[in-house]
Amino acid sequence: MAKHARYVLQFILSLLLLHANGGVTNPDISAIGQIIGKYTDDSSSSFPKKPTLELGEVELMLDAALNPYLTGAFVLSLGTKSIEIEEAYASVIRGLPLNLGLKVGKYRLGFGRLNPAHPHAYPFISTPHVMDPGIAKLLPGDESFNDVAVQASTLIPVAGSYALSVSGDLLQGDSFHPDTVTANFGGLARIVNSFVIADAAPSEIGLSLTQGTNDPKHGTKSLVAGADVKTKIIISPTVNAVVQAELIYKNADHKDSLNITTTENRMGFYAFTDFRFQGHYNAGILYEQYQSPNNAAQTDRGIKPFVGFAVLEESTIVRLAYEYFMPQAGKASSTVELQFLFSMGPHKAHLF
Amino acid sequence: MKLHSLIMTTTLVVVMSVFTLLAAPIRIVAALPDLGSIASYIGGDKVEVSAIAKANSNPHSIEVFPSYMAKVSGASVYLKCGLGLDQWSDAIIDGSRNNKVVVVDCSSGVSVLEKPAGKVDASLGDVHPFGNPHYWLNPENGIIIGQNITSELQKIDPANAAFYSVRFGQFKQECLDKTAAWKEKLQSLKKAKIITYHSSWAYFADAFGFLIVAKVEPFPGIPPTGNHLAELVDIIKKEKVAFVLQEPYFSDDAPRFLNRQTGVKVFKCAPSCSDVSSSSYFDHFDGIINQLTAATGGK
Repeated sequence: MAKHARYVLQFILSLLLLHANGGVTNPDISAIGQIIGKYTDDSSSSFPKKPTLELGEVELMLDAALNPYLTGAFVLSLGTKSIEIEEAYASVIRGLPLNLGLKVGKYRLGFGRLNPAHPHAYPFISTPHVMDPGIAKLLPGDESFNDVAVQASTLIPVAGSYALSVSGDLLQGDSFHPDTVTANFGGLARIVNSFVIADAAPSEIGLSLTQGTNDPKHGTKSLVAGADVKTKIIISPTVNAVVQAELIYKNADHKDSLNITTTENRMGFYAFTDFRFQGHYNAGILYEQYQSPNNAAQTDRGIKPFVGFAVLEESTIVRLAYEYFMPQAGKASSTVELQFLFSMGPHKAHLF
Repeated sequence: MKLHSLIMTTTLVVVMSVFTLLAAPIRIVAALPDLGSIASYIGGDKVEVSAIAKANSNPHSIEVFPSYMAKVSGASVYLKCGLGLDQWSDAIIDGSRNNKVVVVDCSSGVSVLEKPAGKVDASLGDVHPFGNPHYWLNPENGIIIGQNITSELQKIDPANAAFYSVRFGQFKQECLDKTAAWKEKLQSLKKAKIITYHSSWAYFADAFGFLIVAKVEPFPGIPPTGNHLAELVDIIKKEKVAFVLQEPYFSDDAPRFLNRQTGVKVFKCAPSCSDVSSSSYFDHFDGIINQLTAATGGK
């Protein structure tokens, strides 16, 4: 990994030096860092009942127009001991027929609403358990549903403020079996209906469906379906409330060493509301529940109120969250997180 | 006979469709309603105009909705504000995948105020690196916006070039006449010292002779601190500030505090007009100026 880190850094430096050549411009470069203070009484954590202070994930982003028809982006995730390529993709933004867009590379897949977004953008600091592939094990992937893929998408104006976005991805499929690298393609389809309610509440309803091979040796498959909704209620020019929810259903076959097939059927969901006022403050609450990956008859639940203050958009944000997590089998735990997030780089447009 | 009727009907439908297409208005999407209003005036019934931002929206941080991209996907012209105010316009245009949309930077030719000198970075706050982008609030810049729009309409619809030229001439004359009338109405407030919440009003102040002596934001995008508010109280008393101009998307707390401490009048005015109708751009100035003169009584 140190060897890869050297090559990645050399690549970044070479990008920065490109401006010395006539006719080449620098990409936009942004960096996001975060410090997270945490206290938890969860006995399964690394430091139960001890406050910790950690450097959270640091992200370095480079993006630029490649030419009049394509844009490119790199997102590098920097830990204290490793550098990962979280995303590296190119997008065709014009020039294709039928309003088509094309995206090629490695990226956080567009399943639902939370997965495509980076966790530093969440108002509640850490990923809800239900959406964490390593915890609830509903979504494919390791830390997120992220794969090498090709996506085709289109935008269909319907009438008035209604629009339909439709996309399909062909995945390399390794996210369905993170421990091995093979060539078993998977797929993802998503449709989103965007509209505005009474000129005061832009909203979206989406459906996602993905399938892939979860065990290359036995050829068994996982199918994950999701439904999501987001609405932003504009209460006044200085106050708005975001309401967002996702429901996930997983159906997966597993074969054991005796070739006996078992079928996993589990569901989970989260919902949160986030009030934002005066352009700098926010406060909200999140609820989640899901059928436990160890025993579908058990339901794990969590509730998390949170608050935040942004000095100047994403340049500096302080967030505080308290989580009360209630696994059906096991002891309930409390976790307090305090995040100081800082970022540098050019302003980007805010996508809904 | 039946075949004859079918042929006649089909021919009629085809001919009517062709005429409908030929007569279809030019679809224009404007980043701001002010740009859209000017386009409506100049284009008349030959254009169909809509805007992305609303009057009460903060134009610095418009969220990009797919419905905006869908709107632009069917447009022939996009009117961009420019000068770094509407970076979200680029995301909307790219997302629309409209290869044929003509993007007009309406700031072209404007004499830009408050261009930062030296190194520009976040230590200056959320500063606009290309200068103050709220240029439409000087009606004389409205004429420049109108000229930019007219030039583009004449290129894409040369058959109606003369029409657009006449309409622009009318717009320009009305702009000049109304500006003179507004200046006359505000004569007693000329050189009045004012405070603005954000730097939205620099061009308005320049047009009508106000002197902006301070801003409620200590730096662009940064909320006022207690110390800064105390300084503002001193400035209001010392400079005999006439009024405070506040945008509707900022908190009322600081202006209310200044009013309580000093009695200074606070006017909450949207920097953008209410819609894209052809009279909206002028009505907006009427509304602000009537509000100022009625409340201050020409003080």
